[in-house]
Amino acid sequence: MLARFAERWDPEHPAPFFVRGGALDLAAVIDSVRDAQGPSRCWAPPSRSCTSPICLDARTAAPPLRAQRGHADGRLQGRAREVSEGELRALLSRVLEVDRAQVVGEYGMTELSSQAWEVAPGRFRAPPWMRVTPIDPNTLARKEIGEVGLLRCHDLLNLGSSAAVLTSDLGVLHGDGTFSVLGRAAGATPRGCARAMDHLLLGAR
Amino acid sequence: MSARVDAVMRAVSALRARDGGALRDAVRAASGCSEDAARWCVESVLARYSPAALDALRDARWEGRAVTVVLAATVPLAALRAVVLPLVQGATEVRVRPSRRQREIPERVIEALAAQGLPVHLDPGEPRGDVIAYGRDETLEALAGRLAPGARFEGHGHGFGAAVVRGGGAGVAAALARDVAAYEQQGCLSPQVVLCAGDARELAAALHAALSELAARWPRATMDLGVGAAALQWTGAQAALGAVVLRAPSHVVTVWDRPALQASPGARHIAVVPVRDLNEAGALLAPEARHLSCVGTDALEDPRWRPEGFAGRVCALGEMQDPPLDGPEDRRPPTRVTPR
Repeated sequence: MLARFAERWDPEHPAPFFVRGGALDLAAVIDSVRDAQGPSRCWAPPSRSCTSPICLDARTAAPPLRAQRGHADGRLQGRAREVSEGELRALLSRVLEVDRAQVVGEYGMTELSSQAWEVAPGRFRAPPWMRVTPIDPNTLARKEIGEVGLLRCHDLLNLGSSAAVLTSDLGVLHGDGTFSVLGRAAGATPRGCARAMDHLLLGAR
Repeated sequence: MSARVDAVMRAVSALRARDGGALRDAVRAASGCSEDAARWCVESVLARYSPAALDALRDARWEGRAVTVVLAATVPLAALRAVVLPLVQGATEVRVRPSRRQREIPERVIEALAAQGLPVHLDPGEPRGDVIAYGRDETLEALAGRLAPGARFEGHGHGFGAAVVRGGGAGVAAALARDVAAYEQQGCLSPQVVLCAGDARELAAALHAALSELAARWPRATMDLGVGAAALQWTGAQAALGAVVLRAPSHVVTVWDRPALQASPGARHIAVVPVRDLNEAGALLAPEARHLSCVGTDALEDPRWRPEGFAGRVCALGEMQDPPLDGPEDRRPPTRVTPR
């Protein structure tokens, strides 16, 4: 998918691969980001799974990477390193030289084509074609506003796969249609792109 | 020691008579089960206690020693047996550390025993002296590592139950449904999977019907978000892996077309797995034999399903959750004992 974006936007520079032999080539990632900071180039970090290692690496090295927006979608967790959401946002702010208010959160996952974006601290809004609903696991019925439930996502852009995805994420719906994510249900299997990145980072050591 | 047996029997009588209703309420609060299920729990547990059964348990295992019993959050009344065992095995003092998630029932049990002059009391602090611990294997390892030199440690860790069914029919399904529904598969004796040497689809359909029928009397306890998430994930994964899913508001039964050992998230979620014969059932269970704490079966006289290294309980279907008072509920040797 990302390769298709790269082809469309920048056919002169095909998307490079940064994973070799099961390990992430961090130096190559950082070089590529710097190289992409010219006026006519766009670099789109797909998620925290990609940006976080850069930030973490840049804590001790590298000059800042200038940006207009930072993007954080939760905390990085796994065996390689554990980073809280607050720490991740602070790092993004510092490394990308953007104001903390410009570091916005995102709720999304591989299984969805769409994402919900943070519109106020800790509050996400889904696009009109996507609905995120906390549900009761006993009845699958929608929870009332303010009640915690498991987040169920309907994404009409999922044309070639399931339009409804039931997660083990805990969340709550607010009266203005936004929702908050409260973490994983106790005992749920950890999932997500950050887990794959965790393996790659371990491989890089 | 016979004085202790008498004291335990008086405490059991008090729990049954004076505190029976309160104990039922505590069981309901701890497990979320129905009034009828709570009554069955209290009555079936207390009915196991008799002077003869307690006499048979007497030995000098903990003679002259002060013991801390560390309890897990598990089936509600398991605390009673865990505390009574060291008392009739000679301990001079039994300190009980209940789970943070399950305090009320151990407190009632200890109160009843102490009221009869037995040397038992709550002690939520760090375990001291000799320790008998129930819980996850990792918890036991951590506890054992913190003990004072020379202290004895007996750990009862991870365990699970399985049903091995040779035939089928409504009677088998009804008995199996009771094993599945009792304690919502929370205990180490609860069946996590059914291995069927007969017609697995037929048994699954009968179990599905029997669980629906039982739910009228014993409605399933409300799943919290953690259990609910695991249950929904399990059901989805089973379907994705090719199992047929029989779903009802009170339970989920899945049926496989190939032999593969399946775990369960509890809360009346169970897989029925076909096996060619009892030998194949044994081969499937073999890798987990050490953790297998109970097998309920209609093939009691046929040992072919018994995997090497299995030391758990064996009982008829419908009796998996009603273990006689003949030692720890999980009859396997302790997961860890130090010093050896």
